[in-house]
Amino acid sequence: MAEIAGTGGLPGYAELHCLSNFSFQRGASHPEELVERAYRLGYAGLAITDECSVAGVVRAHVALRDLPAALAEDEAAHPERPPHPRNESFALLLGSEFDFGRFKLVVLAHDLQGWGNLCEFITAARTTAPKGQYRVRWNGGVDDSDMASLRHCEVVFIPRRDAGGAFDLPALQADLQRAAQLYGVQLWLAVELLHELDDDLWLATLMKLGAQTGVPLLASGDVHMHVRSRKPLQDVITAVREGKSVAECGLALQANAQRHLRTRSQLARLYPGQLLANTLEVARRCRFSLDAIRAHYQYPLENLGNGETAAQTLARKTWTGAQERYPQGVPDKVRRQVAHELALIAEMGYEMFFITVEDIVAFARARGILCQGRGSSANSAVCFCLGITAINPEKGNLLFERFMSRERREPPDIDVDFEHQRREEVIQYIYAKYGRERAAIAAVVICWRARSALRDVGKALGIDARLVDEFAKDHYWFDDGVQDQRLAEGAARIGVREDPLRLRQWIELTQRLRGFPRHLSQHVGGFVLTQTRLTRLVPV
Amino acid sequence: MHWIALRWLPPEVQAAADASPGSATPGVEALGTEALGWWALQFTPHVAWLDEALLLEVSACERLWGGRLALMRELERLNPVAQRLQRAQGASSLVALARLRLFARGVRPPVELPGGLPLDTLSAARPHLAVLERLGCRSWGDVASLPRGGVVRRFGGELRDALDVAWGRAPDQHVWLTLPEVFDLKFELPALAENAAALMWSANRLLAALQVWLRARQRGALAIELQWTLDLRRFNGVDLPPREQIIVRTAAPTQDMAHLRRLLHERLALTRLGAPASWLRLRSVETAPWAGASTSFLPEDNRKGDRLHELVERLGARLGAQQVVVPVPQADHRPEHMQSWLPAHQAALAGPARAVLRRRGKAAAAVAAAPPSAAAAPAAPPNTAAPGASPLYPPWLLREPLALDVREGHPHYQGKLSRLVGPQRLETGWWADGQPAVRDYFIAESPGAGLVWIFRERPSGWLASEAPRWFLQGLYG
Repeated sequence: MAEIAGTGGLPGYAELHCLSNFSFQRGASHPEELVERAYRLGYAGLAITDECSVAGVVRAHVALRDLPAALAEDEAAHPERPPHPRNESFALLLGSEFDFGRFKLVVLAHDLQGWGNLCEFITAARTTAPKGQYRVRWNGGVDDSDMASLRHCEVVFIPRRDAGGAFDLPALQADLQRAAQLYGVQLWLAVELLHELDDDLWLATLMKLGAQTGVPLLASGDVHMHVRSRKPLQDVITAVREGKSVAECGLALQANAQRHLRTRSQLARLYPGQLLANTLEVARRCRFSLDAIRAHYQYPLENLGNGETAAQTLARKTWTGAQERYPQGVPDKVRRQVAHELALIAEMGYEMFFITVEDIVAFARARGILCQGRGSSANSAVCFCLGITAINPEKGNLLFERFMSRERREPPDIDVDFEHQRREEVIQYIYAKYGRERAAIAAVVICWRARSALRDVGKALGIDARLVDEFAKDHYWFDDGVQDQRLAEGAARIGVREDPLRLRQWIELTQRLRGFPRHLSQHVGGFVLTQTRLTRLVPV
Repeated sequence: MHWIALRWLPPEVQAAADASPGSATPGVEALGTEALGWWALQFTPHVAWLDEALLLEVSACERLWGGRLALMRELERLNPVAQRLQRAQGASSLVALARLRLFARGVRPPVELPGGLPLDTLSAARPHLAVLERLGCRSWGDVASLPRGGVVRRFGGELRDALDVAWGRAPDQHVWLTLPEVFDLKFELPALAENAAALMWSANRLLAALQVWLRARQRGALAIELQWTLDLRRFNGVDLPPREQIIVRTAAPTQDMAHLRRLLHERLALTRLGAPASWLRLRSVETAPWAGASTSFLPEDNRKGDRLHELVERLGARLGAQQVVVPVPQADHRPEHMQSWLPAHQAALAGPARAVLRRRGKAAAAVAAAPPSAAAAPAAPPNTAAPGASPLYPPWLLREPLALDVREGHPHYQGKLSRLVGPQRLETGWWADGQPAVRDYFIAESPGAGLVWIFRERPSGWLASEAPRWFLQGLYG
């Protein structure tokens, strides 16, 4: 640990409580931005802990994977600038935050086992509550088998703090003791010092509490944004959540911008060294990466023939299909193409995907539900033989590499259109075959578009509703870079006077907000199927 | 069936009764028979006026009051007017009424009921008393024993029916009094009222009735309208409207007529009648459910004097609604924005009861017709902090932050300040006009002024090169 702690003479630190904008209407930074900022600040790690969700972790994971390459590219483009320091030991921690009223818990997965527990916990909390909400209970020792299920995880206990206000110390102590019984050495008590007037008192109180209960303390920052300058956007998001204008939100807004990723020198001035060092210990224990899921994922095995391997089944089905497609005998060209494709599929290990799709299409055909593969999958002779697509490879010139190639290392994508009135039948077939525990419809993240962002930011800033309507209707000029002029014209046209500064804020914040995830919705037909319990891999 | 008959002694009989309008309890003539009926509705839903007496049918509800005796005592105790209450009971309404009449005369009721009751206590027999007496009938029983057909032919069906009711052979039917949904009473003034003060004298009577109605409805008045009919169509060559009115509003629902009377009084004192008024009408415009206040033994709960909002309303009625301002807490992180001074009637809208009160906003503004007089000084505590404000905030805020001298990098206020607690960082207000508030607050100790609350303006962006500026914003102790 010494080598991490020593970098640049500053103490090492890992941020363990950080919300991305996938905590809808709370976080004000993309997971990518958070990861990059933490990496550049020389943090030992960053935990993305969205509220009862792990929706932000994939983007964070991808961002971290691509970051070294992006830095190298930047250095190559600007050789005159000093090179970016590399932070090889940077770890992305995955977890989630749960609000229990008197306190919050941040749960961080150690490994695949812990991840599975966390995902099941989120699933349980979400399914018992209305859409968009979740329900967690703290019974103080009575029937908290749910809570106890969070094994193989680090648990960070964050007491609720009303700055300057009184707090119920005995209740807090009881909660903490109960949590310590449940989680033992995996429990930590977080101190979040955010430049309030009574920070010293808070720190002293928690130190005492930690000493009484034997729970070690660590530092964390309740991060909502990656840099301080995101505060206005954070306020706007709060206003959207409250359904008011920013000026009306009052104390619902954060008092200051301290909930950002602070530099390690700032942290070193605020926190005792041991509290910072403890974050490194947590980061060391949590070594779970999303790559483990990929390695662990298994397709459902129902469709395999008796005792066959996946490759054998796919080959059998393909050649059988080919016989049906070409009753007069399979042409040589097609035969060669199919053999080539099968070899590649086997090499990449995607047989199960083809078999699963074939099964669904076969069901639809048997029921007389119209269906048709489309898109790049039409370039595959195997898909044609399996009856998924209808482009005869004998006639056309197939561009199989557009569909799947060794170089891209991306999973293939087969889009199948079903007759939409009867799509529900197909969905029910899938549920019936694989069971509710192993099949689920994929979610889509609905993001702010220019129009909705214009409306929401305009409302939050208290811009005249007529002006907001005027521009939300006709926002196609939005990317033209002539907004100021258009705004001035428009305001004059409908006779609304607005402060130019405010209009500029409106446009700037709208541009920032665009692309922010707003809520989750259901994909129209995307299914996730697994061999084992799905909820061990992702929350449902 | 069991009936109670009630009668209030007429004033000429009870000379001692002080029924002047200013006294705490009004007289019978001040309250009016309608209001007395409403008052009785609190005991039983079956209430009716019969001749001079108020009759209550109580067989279904007497247990609720702890029996007949307890109910009778309760009636006496809750008597709404100054006059004494006379009470009598009976198995039918007519018997109860007859006993009441005997009681008023000071005659003991007969042993045999209803047969022994003297005939003149029966209203239906009164027109025929002389004839009946000549027939030798002295009591109800005498008439009842006459042949039925003959009595009906000779005296009409009414007398016979009344006797059937008295003996319980026919149902005892009445038109029960009901409580109107809206209070709306008018009456003709005994004499033309020439000025507003004269109206006030008569309005008292209506207010007393309003109080009875509010209590019976268990509601409190939020707005009432006093309307008077003008006796002239034209006056000094000017066409007059048929009626004039004022509306009086109060912030909290009230059953306290003293407060409404004071408000009416202030408003009427500023009103000039267009012409002498002949009729007066009082109407409830808005009421709210009445949550009674519980009484307490603790002396600090029983405050003396007016409630604050009553004082504010009275001042507003006298000085004009715009002239009286009150502090309203605001939710904002910036200390100087945590309260604002608003005219009292707007402040009510900005308060927690916003949704309820907004409807009335327009009407309230329209009624505020009082002429502006000399500006009223705001009379309220210096610092009304928002509910979310930290208890560590100082109790006294400066109107404007005071720039502090900085010597050798240290702020001075009556000596060199030593920072004790802080910083508390504030970054907000970017949406407002002017500079956003980017400050670090400290509690500091001054050799001369004790504990003070100071802040340092944090250089934001383009001001980064400037030396930090220090301000004093609050004082402790």
